[in-house]
Amino acid sequence: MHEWSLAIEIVKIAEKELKERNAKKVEEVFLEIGSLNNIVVEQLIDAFEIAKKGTLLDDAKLYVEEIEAVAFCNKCNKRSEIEPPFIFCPLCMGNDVKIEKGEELHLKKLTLEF
Amino acid sequence: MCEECGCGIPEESKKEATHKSEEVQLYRNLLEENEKEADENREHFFEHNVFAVNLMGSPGAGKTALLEAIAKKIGGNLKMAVIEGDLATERDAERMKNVGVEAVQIMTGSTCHLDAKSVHKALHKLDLENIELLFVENVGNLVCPALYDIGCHINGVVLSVTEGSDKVAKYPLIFRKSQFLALSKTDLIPYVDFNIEQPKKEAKLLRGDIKFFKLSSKTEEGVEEFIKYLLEKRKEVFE
Repeated sequence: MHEWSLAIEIVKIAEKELKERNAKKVEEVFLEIGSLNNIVVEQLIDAFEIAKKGTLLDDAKLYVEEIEAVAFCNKCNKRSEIEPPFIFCPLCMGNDVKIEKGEELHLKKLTLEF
Repeated sequence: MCEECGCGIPEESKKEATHKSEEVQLYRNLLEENEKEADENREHFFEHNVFAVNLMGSPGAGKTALLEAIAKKIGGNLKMAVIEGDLATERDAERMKNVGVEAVQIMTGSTCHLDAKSVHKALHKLDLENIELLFVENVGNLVCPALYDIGCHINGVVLSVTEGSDKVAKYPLIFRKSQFLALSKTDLIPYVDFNIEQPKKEAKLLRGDIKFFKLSSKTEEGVEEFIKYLLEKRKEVFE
């Protein structure tokens, strides 16, 4: 249940931003979650609904954009979408690849009410 | 994301006109606080010449037994210490003390992983000047510890043959974050249906440079080779 710990981090970061900007409350939270993190988005949303209670995010909605994994193959010199769990180039089946997308764990933006 | 009901799809158009709302672009890492604390742990380790190993794996994989076997082999030749992570009890720290190793127990309560902050707190209970090799035995779990950097020099998984040969692909993230995979309880291979090639092959497909060890804490198979590997890694960091 690392989703629970992440939900608490979301609330912490958003509340801090809100206070620094003298906003009244957080209306929306937008996340980018890469598929390689093995995060269960439904569980994260459920955890957020509980974690936000009694905070300045009480009315906030959480939107999660899932990012598919993309890797660059050093042998083929090409980038391809990769199918988790394994990390290899679908063109040459080799594993000399650099992951470019799929590891995101970002709070992308907030909508704040002033 | 569900296309039928639209849950999780951003609806940026639905703001009420009566409120003054503003969008703030952040792009902040959700784990930034943990990563900052992990960097602080790294600095501590570096300052005190402590080589730190994050040992992960399922409950019952044989992590503590491996540490006991390592402690017995090392004897007084290297100053070793252990930070133990469990939900409850000081049993593992007691086991390490019984083989003459300085140990601190972290009891997480209900948390399924160690984070950098909990490790940092435990570091204050150790005499870092007197430690050359520090193991952090993470909470038994193949899922959550993978997301949390605790600042160790290397991460690795202990996977026992009784867990089955198909586990690597089922829990990919933890193996992708690991520099080594220590296959444990190999003395039991004759009694269980275990294909040793499968975890090896699958781990390579998650991380090309992962090092593979066959270990038995009971017969001591591979223990010396594993210690040698750790000492080489230590040398790479400090010399």
